[in-house]
Amino acid sequence: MTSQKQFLDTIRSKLEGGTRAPLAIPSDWAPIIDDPLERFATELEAVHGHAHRCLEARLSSTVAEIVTSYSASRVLLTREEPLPPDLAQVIEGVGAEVTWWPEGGRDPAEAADVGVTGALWAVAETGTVVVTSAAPGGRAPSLLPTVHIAVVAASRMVDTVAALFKEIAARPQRPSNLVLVTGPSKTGDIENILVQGVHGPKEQHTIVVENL
Amino acid sequence: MTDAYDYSKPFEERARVSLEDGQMRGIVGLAVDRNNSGRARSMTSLRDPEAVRELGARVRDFNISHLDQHLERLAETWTEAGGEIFFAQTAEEAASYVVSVAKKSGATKAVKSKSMVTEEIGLNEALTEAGIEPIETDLGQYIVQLAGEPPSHIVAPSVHKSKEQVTDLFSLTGGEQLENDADVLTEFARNRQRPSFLSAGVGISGVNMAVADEGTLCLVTNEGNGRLCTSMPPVHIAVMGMERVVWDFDQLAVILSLLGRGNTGQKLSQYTSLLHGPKRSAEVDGPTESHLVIIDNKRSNLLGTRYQSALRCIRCGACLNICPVFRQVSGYAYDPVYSGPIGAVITPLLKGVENAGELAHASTLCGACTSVCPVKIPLHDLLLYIRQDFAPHTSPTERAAYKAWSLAWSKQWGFALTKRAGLVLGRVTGGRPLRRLYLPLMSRWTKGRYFPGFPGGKHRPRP
Repeated sequence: MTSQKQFLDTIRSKLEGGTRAPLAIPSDWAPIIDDPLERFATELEAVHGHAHRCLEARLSSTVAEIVTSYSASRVLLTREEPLPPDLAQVIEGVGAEVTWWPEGGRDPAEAADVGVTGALWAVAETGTVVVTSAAPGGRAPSLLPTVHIAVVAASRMVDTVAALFKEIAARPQRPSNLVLVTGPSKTGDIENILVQGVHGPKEQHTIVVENL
Repeated sequence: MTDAYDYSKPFEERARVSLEDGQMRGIVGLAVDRNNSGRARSMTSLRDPEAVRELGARVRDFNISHLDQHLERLAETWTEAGGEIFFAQTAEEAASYVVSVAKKSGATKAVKSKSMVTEEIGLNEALTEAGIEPIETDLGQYIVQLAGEPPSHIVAPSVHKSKEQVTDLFSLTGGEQLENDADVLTEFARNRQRPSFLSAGVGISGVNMAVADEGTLCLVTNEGNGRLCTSMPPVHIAVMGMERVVWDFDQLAVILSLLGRGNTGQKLSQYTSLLHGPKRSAEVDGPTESHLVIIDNKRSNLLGTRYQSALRCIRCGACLNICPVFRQVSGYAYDPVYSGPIGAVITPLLKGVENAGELAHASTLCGACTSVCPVKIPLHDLLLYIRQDFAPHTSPTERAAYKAWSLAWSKQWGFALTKRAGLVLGRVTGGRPLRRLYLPLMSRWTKGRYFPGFPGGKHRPRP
């Protein structure tokens, strides 16, 4: 069995005598984004996601409208920011049953028609939201339900993927899993025909809260 | 179809099987065209696409030339994140480590997200032998697994399969006739595999890039199977080729911007997972064990040689999609696992040029691969180098013919003699191409080509 030292020594001996290439990454390689909120919506729709915008006061009813549009009966909610405190009540008001993550563990997430989560950031360049495994969220709520609704504050919008990774690097918390979600699950593996919803959510909605 | 591809036969014979399959060439052609135009379109959304490609190449060169240091740092940071690490010099070492971890966990099933390096080390065979059922979950990889075939494209493993073939395959698997419809077939895979994700004891994935200074693995999928494989089973094992490392998140951003664009023309793939060890104690779900297996398997032979730039590869598949040879012969004409121009370069380097060097001849040297590679690997130069290294292993007649030619043209009288012969032949044939020219001892060369006509006359006027 190879030890780490042996493994790395082999590499070291082969690299010896060669030049170790230097690297400086220029700050201006990423695209320029003019209107981030508008661009985010355009990009997300282009990858078959759904972009919404609302004020904080309208947030619960915006989520409820999406829930109603799928005639969803089971909704999973996390207690992540910036989900509003009255959200469960409003969703129950439109006739859906609400489970709070992680009550009951993974099963309610698997059974849910819709999972509603917060998001740490949104990326205008690509229509991406970033979800985290850290409590009070988790991995399952944005992954197992048939529809995923992410809610993100407009102040958490960054222009580009390059800018996002600067934010990720600067944040002291390191959860075991961050996922950059860019629209719904999809495949083209059968004759390049686009099909949504292979293993992850079939539909993905992002609500950007303009005054947060 | 599997029977038709016998890997003990030379490239030429395997290629013929594909060339005679018009339907497959049609499907592959359409698929690669779509990915290729997607790539071209999406590259233009970068401010200066050429500058970003150049930057991508520099990021990869920086990491390869510091590989010992960066892997050492990765081992530290991954362990700090609570992960376990294993360095494997050979394919066998890697496969037996994965099997031992899976066995220790008591797993009977392993869900896998598409990983070419696990194909390279024969992991599915090793798991099966140990009584652990490997379940491929990427739709394309699931299709080829059910068909008992290896993947035919590094990004789209079932690119050679028609919808009808998939319908037949899934109907047979499910025991009922399914509708010949991509939505129905995909739903079948979803419903069949969701329970596997939730019950498997082990999840196995590849790694698109490891971030050395951050103890983070980056895994990219479109279907979400990568997320499920790394999140649902209690044990996660990630397997990576040792060169797939960047130093920090700034470098990762550059590579990710090129990876999605290079393969299907996506600015980002649907899901980019950043994995940082096992589940934290304060977290609710996620694996409790996280293993990282780093594999050499002859990659270190490329370091410090003229082939080192091949290690830049980020496995986007852009060179396969644009290659005029790949679209005609498809993946199976190459050796298993890595096909297309990059496969024709790295397969001989990993298996020995003397064993697989003929693959470098599966190229017109048009340079299209080099022109699209997002990290600017000079693929057609490397193909030429492999031809050069393979030359001593070609047939003695071929070598003698080239030697004679080279000798003849190194003397003025020899060159003049061939010119004269050309003039005579031109007069005899009237300048027409020689369609059926069978030269003794050179039939292998002439049977696939028209011999160009001898135009007669003079190449340049006399002063």
